Amino acid sequence: MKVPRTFAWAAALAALAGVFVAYLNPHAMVDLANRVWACF
Amino acid sequence: MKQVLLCGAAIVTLSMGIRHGFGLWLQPITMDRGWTRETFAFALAVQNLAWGLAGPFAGMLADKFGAFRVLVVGSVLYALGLVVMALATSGAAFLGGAGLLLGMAQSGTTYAIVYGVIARQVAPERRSWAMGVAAAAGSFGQFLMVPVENGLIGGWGWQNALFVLACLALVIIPLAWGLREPAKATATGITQSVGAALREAFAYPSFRLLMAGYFVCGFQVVFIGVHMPSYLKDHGLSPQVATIALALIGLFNVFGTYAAGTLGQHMPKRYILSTIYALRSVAIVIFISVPLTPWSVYVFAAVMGFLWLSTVPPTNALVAQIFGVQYMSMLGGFVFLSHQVGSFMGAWLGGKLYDATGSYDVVWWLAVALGVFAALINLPVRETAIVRPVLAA
Repeated sequence: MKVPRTFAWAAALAALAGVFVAYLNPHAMVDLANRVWACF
Repeated sequence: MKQVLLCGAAIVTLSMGIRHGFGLWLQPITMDRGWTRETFAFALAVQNLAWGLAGPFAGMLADKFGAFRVLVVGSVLYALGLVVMALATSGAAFLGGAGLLLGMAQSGTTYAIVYGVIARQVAPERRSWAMGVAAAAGSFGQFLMVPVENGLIGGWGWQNALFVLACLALVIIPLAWGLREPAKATATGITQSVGAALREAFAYPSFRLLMAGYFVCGFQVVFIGVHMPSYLKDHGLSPQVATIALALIGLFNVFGTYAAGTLGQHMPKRYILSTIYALRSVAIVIFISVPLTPWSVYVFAAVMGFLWLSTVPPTNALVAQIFGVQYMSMLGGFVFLSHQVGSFMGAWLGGKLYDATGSYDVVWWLAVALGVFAALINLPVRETAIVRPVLAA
């Protein structure tokens, strides 16, 4: 069954949005920021 | 085509994604092992060089014996390198695992290998788009794996996180099954040895121009990727700004790579490349000229993210278009070697010139000048296929 193109695009955008939200999670952001900052 | 695209995309999601967050291990590893940052940083620098140097050889093997075998070996090396990275108790062992093994693994599991299959199995009229899809998948992998790896380190510890990634790297093996190619029959009258292909490519001005442009790409993205957090810290911005900037680069990178691949179906790729490099220079000039605020960082990150790996589809599509697909992975590997030399220079010179001058200004302007240079040298690239003599029957 062919996956409708609009569904594929919607799934891709949802995945991107979900990952972006993961970066913005306050606890995760502080944790990630500290690890990045630790490089300097 | 769908199988090649799905499996190829999944492979680069893993291979490009896993490596993207290695910097997150700097603090826990150096603290636990009592090493200096130089030990860790040197291993990662060697990794990038090993990736570049091994690329042409991995590509040569893939072109001759099929991508499947190279991907399987690459996957095993990837897992092995990650395990060694986790267990190494000496700097030398860490260098061997995180540097050499992972560098070679990446040469066997990333774009050059997958693009060889795409170039041979996808019709030319869809090839650039397909390369854009694969590049977007690799970009998504980079975007995805940073928070995932951060979560793994925080939740399971840095060693277990590496073991998990080693298991993920082995998933490349079943995915590689989808990239098996039928035994290649020599195209009628068209046959070329490896040596002849290399001599032809390096004698061809457009190949050298593509290599020169890709050097600039490596310089710019690695300089920004490695040194921008430090630049922001120096100017008093919070670490959260750097995190959001990383996220924006990752997010817009996905769109940029897909757009570049799609555009390559409809317009000369040399114009796409020239525009990308020119826009990078414009973006950098504006970024360092306006007052540095969180929002100027976010806008810069979004713009640069869109232009980040967007050079990958048109550069590789041009290699296939000009030289054909028989040695796509090998020639793509040589072009990428130039990218990695540029990457090394971007990372190294960024630090060296900062230490010498007390600021990143010189390097920013060097990146601008190199972007202008790359924008200009891509314009004369001839996109027509090389005509080779047909052998007598």
